Amino acid sequence: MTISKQQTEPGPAPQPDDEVLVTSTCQGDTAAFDLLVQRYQGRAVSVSLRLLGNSHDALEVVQEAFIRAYRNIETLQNRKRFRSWLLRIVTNLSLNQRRDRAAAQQMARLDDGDQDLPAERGRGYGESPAAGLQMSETQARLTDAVSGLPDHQRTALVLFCLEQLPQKEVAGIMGCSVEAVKWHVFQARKTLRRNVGDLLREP
Amino acid sequence: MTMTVEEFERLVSEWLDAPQHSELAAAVEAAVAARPAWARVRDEWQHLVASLRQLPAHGPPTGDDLRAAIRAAIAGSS
Repeated sequence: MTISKQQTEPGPAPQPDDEVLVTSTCQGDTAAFDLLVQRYQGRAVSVSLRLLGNSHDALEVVQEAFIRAYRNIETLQNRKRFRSWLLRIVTNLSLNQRRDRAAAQQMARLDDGDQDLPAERGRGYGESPAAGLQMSETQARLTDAVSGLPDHQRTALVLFCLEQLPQKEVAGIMGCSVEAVKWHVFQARKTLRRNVGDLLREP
Repeated sequence: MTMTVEEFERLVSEWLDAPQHSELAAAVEAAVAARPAWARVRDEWQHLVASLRQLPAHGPPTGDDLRAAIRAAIAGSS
């Protein structure tokens, strides 16, 4: 009888779960935290970028979020929920950054004597979030429309519909009920349908 | 009791998030049967939700640069 190659060569070692890595980090193991960074950096950047619409700021926010997570990791009560906890930090920092940027841009424009801010009012960024990305015209318009949604609607939509996180986890990240998440998602979709309805109709 | 367009849209939104729930699908179809003009509303919602799902998960490459920056910041602060 021959023994197959698969039986003699073990596969890659299973990755430790989040709870183990958080516990190791609490004990001073920075390599364990590095594995958490590796595991969640992509998701964190994606969430921040979808909320901010600016890749430079998104990377800064994610870096800051991981540093805060590291410094406060002992306060995390349920160590299995590291992802939700991290994404809550990322979300809050992203929304704060967006508000700060919008306020700064408005002040700069007022200082320049330009009080006419029609297209960008409430968005907070001069460039389209879709600018420079490889996407169809429909996707670009939809991305811009998502960027124009109020904070709660945009956050719920990004986390649930775009990042496809479970509603319960989104509720935990946003600090609200599952029913509130459903309501924000519904309102967001209604707004989008009103704003990009022409894209949705069959010719 | 007559359903409003807003209530119908809410129903469609719930159904699209839980398409496995046959009772939601049946309720949507019953509402469309009673108000055929709502078929267009349903179709637009379906199109919107599908389009959102297809939006690319765009982002700059993260890789080693971000990890290294975080590692350095943590080492510098401890």
